[in-house]
Amino acid sequence: MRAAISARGLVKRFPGQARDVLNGLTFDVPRGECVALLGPSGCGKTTLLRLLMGIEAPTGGVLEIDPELTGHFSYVFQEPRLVPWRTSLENVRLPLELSARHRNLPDESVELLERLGLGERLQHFPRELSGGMQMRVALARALVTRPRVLLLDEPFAALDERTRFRLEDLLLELRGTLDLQYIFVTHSISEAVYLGDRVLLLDTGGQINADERIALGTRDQDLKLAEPFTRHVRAFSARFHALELGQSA
Amino acid sequence: MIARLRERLPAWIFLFVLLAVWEVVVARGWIADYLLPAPSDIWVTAVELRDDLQAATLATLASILWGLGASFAVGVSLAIGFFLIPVLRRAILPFCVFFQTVPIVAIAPLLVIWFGFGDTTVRASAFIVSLFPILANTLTGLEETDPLLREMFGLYKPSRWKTITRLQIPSAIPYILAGLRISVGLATIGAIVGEFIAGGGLGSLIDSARTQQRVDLVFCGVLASSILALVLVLSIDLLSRILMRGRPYTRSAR
Repeated sequence: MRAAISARGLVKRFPGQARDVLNGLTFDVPRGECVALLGPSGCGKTTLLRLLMGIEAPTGGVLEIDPELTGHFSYVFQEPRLVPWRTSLENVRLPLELSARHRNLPDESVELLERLGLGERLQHFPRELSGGMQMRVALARALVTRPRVLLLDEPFAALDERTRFRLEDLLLELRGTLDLQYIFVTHSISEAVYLGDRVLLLDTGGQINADERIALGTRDQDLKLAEPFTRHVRAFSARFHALELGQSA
Repeated sequence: MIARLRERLPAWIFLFVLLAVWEVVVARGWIADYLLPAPSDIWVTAVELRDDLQAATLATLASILWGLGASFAVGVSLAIGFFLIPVLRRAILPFCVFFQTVPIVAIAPLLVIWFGFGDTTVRASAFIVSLFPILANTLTGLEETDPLLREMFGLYKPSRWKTITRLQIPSAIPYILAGLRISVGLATIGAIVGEFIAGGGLGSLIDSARTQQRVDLVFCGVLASSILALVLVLSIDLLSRILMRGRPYTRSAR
């Protein structure tokens, strides 16, 4: 299958830091595949997502994006990052106002917000919305540019469990209807297995070398399809905790 | 409402006691009334000369609004210019800071030489003293935009102009209003100092009352200028509240 994203020996080190955040990461993401990035804090999940979006530039290695998908990425931050003085509708419209590339796209802000259950809150300011509603506005803002690839950085981490489940289902539904693939960072093993076609398990840089780290990810890729759901959660859980304790899985 | 009254009650009691003591002290002749007229005498003068006081107050108000309006326009424009062109900021801002340290009383005679006696000098004086807080606050507001929002904007690669108009200026609004609040008091001082030298308004009224030894009228002028400044500050507060009620302008998205 054609790769949407292809990374070869991807390295990222921030100025003034002693070690690489990403150390020779190699992986492919085929078109249409949804990938969960899972791993302990500080392992470079968010950094990887930011490299994919172009917010950060890699220090080394090669990152190739399918030319057909270039410019069709959208990003959802961990926090909603809504503009406080703009209403929900104005927040969703913001990318169409700012981006020269997306200026001529039809404005589907109202439809998107209605679809995300915020049809009654179009004129509300962010401070008048709950955390879950704010996150849905942020999701609508990311979708208004009609992305082909959606990058999400722990988008539901700060929400209560019920809201999180609802938004996870919503994301699955959007995937089906909008011809969307997504790559998301999460700390939740169950979320990773529930939403991802494949889980890339990263370790804290330096503890396990880069090849093995990716080997971990590639070995895990078909686990979800091969085994019952609960066993996946346990398998990931055991490996995740082993990594957190600094042991090899 | 009751809590608010309770909070303000001590100030009202203090004012009442102060006026009562002042009245008694002057009535008993412990302080000569040509030095300190009784509050009742000041009140009588204010009622007698209310037309003159009103005309002088309106003239001063007009000068303040002119000076403040010019400060707002020039201050915000300069701040945006400095923000957009850092070299301009490095070239000019130090002189603005230096200019700010020169007392307006020292500059006022120069203004008379340049603009002559009358309104222009008074307005220029109000403008000069009220410019810097608006300029400095606007610049700070533009520079201190929430980095999380800046990063979010960056995703869409907006033009510099769009970033300024849709992010940086709106998030600077609370700073601009704070600057305006400081400047309105300074513009009042600037206008009255200007009037002392160039004539007109409350400054001129106070000065001529002084030369006639009309201490009661001096007090009326001082009182009018204080009330004027207070009303202007409250107006800015009201404007801020109305603006913020319509749209919650804050620096941070969190």
